[in-house]
Amino acid sequence: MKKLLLIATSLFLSYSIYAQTDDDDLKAMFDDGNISTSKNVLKINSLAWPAGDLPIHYERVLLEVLSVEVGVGYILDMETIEIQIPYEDRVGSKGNGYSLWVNPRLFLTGNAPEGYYMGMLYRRRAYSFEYTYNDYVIINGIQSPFAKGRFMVDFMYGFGLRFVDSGLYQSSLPSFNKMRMVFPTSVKLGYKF
Amino acid sequence: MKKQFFIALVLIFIFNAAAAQEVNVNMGPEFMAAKRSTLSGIIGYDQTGYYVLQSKLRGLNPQTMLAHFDNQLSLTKQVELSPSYEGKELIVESIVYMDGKIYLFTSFKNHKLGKKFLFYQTVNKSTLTPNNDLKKIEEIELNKSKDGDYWFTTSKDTSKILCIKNLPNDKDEPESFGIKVFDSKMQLLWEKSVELPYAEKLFDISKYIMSNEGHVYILGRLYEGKAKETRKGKVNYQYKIFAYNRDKSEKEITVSLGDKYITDLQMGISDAGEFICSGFYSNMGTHSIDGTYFLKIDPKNNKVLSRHAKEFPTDFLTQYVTEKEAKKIEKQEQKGKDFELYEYDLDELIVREDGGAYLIGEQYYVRVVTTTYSTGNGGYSTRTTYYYNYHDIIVISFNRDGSIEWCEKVPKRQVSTNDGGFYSSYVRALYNDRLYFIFNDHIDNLQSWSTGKLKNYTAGQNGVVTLVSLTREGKQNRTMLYKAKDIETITVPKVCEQISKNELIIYGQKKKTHQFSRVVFK
Repeated sequence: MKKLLLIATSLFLSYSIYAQTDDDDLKAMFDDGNISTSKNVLKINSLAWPAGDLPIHYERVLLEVLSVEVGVGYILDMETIEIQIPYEDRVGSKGNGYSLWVNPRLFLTGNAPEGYYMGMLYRRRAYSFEYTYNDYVIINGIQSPFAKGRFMVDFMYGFGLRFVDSGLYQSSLPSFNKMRMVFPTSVKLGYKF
Repeated sequence: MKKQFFIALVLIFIFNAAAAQEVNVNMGPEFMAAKRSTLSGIIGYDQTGYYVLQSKLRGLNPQTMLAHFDNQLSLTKQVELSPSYEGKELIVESIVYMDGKIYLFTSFKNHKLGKKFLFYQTVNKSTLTPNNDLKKIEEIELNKSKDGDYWFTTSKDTSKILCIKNLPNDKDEPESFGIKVFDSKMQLLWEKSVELPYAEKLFDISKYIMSNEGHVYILGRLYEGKAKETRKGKVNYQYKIFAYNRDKSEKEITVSLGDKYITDLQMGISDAGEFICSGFYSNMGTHSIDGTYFLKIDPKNNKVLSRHAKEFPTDFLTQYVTEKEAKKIEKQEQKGKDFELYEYDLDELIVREDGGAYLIGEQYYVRVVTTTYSTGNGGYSTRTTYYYNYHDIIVISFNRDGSIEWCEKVPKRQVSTNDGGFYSSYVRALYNDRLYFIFNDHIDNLQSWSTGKLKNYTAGQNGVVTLVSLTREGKQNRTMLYKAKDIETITVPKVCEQISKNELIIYGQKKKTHQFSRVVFK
């Protein structure tokens, strides 16, 4: 009887240990430092500097296929290079300033924040010499992980309209120059957390 | 209520009459499904009914749905599969029905560990949700830019499942992969790591099958120097078959016809366990076919039992074409110029119980037409239209020794635009060595099918669902299964399936309305 009890106990124990080991093994396989479940990405924009803009972006996953990216940047007082149609009328300094970016994104492949997405971008660039750009842009992009999934590269392009508010200079602007076409392109590098 | 009863009576009458003495058709009730959803496949059935996979597009992402239909073909349960473990999402790789159980295969990419794990778990047949019995069966080391893939197939008797892990090699590294064979209870039977003496960029694995005994056959195309079909006007590839037996013995077989192009190959296994490989070849290139190739191998010692290459006979090339076309072909052949059949895809190799086989192909091509037109305000715009052409089916019957017994065309004409040919093509069934083909057709073709003057299928008044039967001797009979206007859905032949020896499930869909029906062969 004692022998039988001993066998039963050892069988139960070995099963429990086996089950425990199985579960521990699974847990280890899924321990990816929460990279796959991270919902936040902090990014820098490598293509905004020709416009004198130095923004930092933050993207937050809202739903499985929806995220929103916001950004804020400091604008340097410098000559800028940016494609606009018609081309920039005002040469010389517009002063320094700030930029604001709001960009909701719908992911068509993959789950946010990875995959191919479409979205809208509102961008405001306000300069100290009472010169403001309000851009409304339709965008496409693709965001992929690299370097063990913790870092992201986000390539985005789009086209839209720029509404120019030149304050004191408004009256001197030809009317056709108050609205322009813009083609924002960005390559952002991000950290997922 | 009375109206519904009357309609049901009429439908029963129509379908029983249309059965043309060869089959019975039982229509299931219509059901509504999400707008961008369709059937992916029927995975299995038991005494309670059928288990089917459906796919629904969310954005451009296909979502997998598992559904159960009872024996009256009514939807009883439908579940979106979104497996996860402790909040971490798993990617659905495959779903297989074996030994009365539904197995779900999923993967998880762990960037931190640099690995992509493969798991399986069973699915509760009542709730259609995954059970809490997740087990790891394989893993792939991630490459910098590639993840690697998992491929699955079952043996014909579904007693075993083959899992291949395709490793994420760099293009100059040797092609390598792993083989694991499990029984129907997911016990590992044998495994093997393979490294081929060919660079990844020069070898493409195209197909893989497994015999009931668990022997694995892998078919691939090996290019010479560069992955191009033709170089300096000559064929630049040959097919390779790799046979891996359960006892770990292996053999590499080269399939080559010198300066002829082997356009495609299919593999099959006879009831006696013999491995058969067959396909089409061409003298001109990979867009046309001139004859067939047949190879049979004894799996015990991987010895080649028979090997044949045979040109299509002229009477087959001129079969069911107009007199004018037939004369043109005959003249060309008499002058010694080759006439080839254009744009035929090899669909299937069915090995018969007698050791012979049927090889089935279909003419398929896409024509792209771009037109430029004036917008009326001085501007111009362009429009691109894709024409999806699904035409004649061809069947080649091989004797046991690999010689051609007969060739037969099943004429049809299906052209549609910008829809991927959703309602085109065919479904086939095999019952008592007799082949059956079901497809959407024009009603007039029921009479004129052999004249070469076919009318294109269009949904609506003139649309019919046609049943063609081919006897063991290659005699063709064509009847109407039912009229398209008699039902609310349009048959989608590509996803229909023969699910048992004498049963075939037909799936119909029109916008959000879906419907299953069952064809029972008599």
